[in-house]
Amino acid sequence: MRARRRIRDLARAGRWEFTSHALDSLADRDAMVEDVYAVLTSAQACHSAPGGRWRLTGDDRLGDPLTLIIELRAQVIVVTLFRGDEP
Amino acid sequence: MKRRCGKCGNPGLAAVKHTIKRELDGRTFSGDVTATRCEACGETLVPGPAALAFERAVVADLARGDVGPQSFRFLRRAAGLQAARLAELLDVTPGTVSRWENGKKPLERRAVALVVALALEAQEKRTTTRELLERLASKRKPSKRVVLGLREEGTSYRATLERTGKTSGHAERSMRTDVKHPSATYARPYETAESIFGKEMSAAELIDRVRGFSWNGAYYRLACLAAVVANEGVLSDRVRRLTVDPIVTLTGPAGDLLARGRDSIRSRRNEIILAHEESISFLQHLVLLEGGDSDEAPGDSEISLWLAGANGHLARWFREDSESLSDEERLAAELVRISRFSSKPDVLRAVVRTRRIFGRKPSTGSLADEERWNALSSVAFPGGFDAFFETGLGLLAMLANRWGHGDAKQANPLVNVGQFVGQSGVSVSEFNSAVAGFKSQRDDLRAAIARRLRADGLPHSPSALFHTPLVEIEPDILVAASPWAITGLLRTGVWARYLAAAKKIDPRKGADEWLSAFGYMFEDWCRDLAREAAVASSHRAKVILPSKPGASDEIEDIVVVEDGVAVFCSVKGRLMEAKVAREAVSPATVVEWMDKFFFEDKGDEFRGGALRQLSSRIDKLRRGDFEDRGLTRDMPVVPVVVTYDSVGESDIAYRHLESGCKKYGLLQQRNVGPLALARIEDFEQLMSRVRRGKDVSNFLLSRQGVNQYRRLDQLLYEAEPPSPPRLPFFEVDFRALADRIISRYKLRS
Repeated sequence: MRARRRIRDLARAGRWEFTSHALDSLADRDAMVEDVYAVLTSAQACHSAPGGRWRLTGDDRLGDPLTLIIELRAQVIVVTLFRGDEP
Repeated sequence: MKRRCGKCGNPGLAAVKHTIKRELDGRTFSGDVTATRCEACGETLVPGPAALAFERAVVADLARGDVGPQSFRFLRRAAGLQAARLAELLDVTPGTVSRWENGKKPLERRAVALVVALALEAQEKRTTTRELLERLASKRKPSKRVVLGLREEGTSYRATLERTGKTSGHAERSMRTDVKHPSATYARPYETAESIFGKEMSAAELIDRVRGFSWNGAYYRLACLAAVVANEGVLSDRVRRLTVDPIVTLTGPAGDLLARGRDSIRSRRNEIILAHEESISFLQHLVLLEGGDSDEAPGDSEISLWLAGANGHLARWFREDSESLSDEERLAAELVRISRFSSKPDVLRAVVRTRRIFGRKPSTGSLADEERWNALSSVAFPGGFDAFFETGLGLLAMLANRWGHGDAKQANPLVNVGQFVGQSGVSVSEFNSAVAGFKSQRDDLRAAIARRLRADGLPHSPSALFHTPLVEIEPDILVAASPWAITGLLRTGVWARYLAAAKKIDPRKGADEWLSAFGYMFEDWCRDLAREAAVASSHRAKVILPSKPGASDEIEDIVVVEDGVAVFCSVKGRLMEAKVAREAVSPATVVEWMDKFFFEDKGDEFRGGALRQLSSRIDKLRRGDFEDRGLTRDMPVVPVVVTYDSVGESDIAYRHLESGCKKYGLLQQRNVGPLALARIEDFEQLMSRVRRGKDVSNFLLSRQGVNQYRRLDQLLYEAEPPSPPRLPFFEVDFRALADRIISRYKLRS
């Protein structure tokens, strides 16, 4: 809960970044930057993931599930994203 | 805290230039942003806000119009819309959206325009277009009872939701959105042969089919259909029975196409729109141009097929001019053009208005001179204006309002002149003289239509019937093109007749003299309305008029002061020529007209664009020039431009004007409410509100938030559906006019 709130606050403060891989994969995942921002600021679930990362799940602006793998440091870093059960 | 790499945790980060790319429809969009790069692992981190800005820039670029299937999908996603939801909003099937996005079906310009608008609005966190589409798609029945949230404040009432910042101390009105003005249907897409049968009808096929039937029979059938559509509504069930259902009965060799057509009708019969003013008028012109001389008139199913075919050839500009215009300007132009069609005026008011405006000389200007006025009037109407109006146009307009209704005695738009005047006190020659400028023979119309043909042989946005809608299909048998065309004559036909007379009297200066005189005549009419509004003892508003139009004591043409707010009404009698919008020459022509009308700079405060003049009056108020008249320099002001003709009021037009105002520094003074464009019909309703003690200033100030860019006619309708009360004199005048017409036509003794 605290991690999800921290992610939301950082994103709203403009402190969020993409890895170049995550940015490049947007089109393949049929997602837009706006969708990523929507999940960062209104995710429904946030679980710890391997490597000290977080797995953030929420709906994009069209209501479709979108999962982000993120690093939580002084800023939020979107490492990768995927739809449904992948990867 | 020193930043570290998000991937490896190394603190060695360097600022680097990074290029973001996106490929759509074979085009590569790219933009450079400042990113950070880890010197240890090589990971590049791109700021989210920069990526967001890039995506928005892509949307803005696509909004210029270069939209292919992938871009369309990108825009839809930018608008935050599921494909199925977009299909519902646009009144098409999900399959159609899917085919647009996978490139199997050509994109329709209307759909692109709407998706662009939705995407742009989504970026700006606005929902004007989407809300309109949501309402249109909801198919809810209007509530029979509408309760507005009014709050009593002393002696007045105010509708309240939340306070707004732009004009302090005024509240936002809680508008019910389940009452829909008929004009809202302008945003509905109509069906084409492609959307129903899966195959577009080519120009050659359409022309070929039209040639197979008699021109006068086809023209008459289309005129009858126009009467039903105009008076019962585009969405009425009777119109669907006449134009949609017959498609099921079509037979022919193209079995697959016809089967698909039948499926389309069965699955979404109540959503299909084929007949509307533009498609019917287009076909009437085509029939006059290409129709055959056989005895066979087309049946309902044939006409339905023509309508579907014709719809695929509408909504085109003669020149696109797309490069010089922004997406907003192009959309504004498109909406101006569309708004010229399928309007349903209050005929009673239109008849009375025409009679009062044109039946007397102006109070000011050169034609206020009795002798000069009589000279002009006698050339325009040799038998006198009253005889012309009461024998011809006024009567036709009253009849046109009844055409198409099954129970009317004269349900069809046909006038057999001999029978019509019969044994009445009006002779055939008197009637013919009264309608002389409005009737035409096929050959004359053909020549006019043939002057503006497209390369494919179809007429381009034809308007010949708009000027002369009474077609003599046989000697002394006239068929009116449509009720729309007849009520259009009330607005422009008499005006044009005076103009022609003025040119005849003085070929060099006559036109300018008439245009100036008409400006005064229109202002005289608006002043009459304001005076009528002010006479009621219950009124809470104060109306301030100059001693005469343009006099030195003028604050603005009409000022209404109410609840400490001044409503400045600037009255404009200029008409938008057919060649500007109705004939669809180019979007740039429309935008140029609008910019000139609203923003032209002629170097002083008395001339130039409407908004320049309005803004200069507000400057004067702010300087305290009107304090001796009771208007304080800091009082809130609502600017209203009152126009005789429609200037294409729409949310897009309002946004375009807002940008223009910012660019030229107009209406930017403190405490200035939202600009309102009021056609004369809207102004009459505003004055009716004043007369009945209903608020006007708060009503206009309520055009904020979700209502900020909404059309005034829709808001007026929603405030008092189904028909806001007229100023009382309208009914009195109309009855008197009807009595005079009856008296003219009563049997000869």
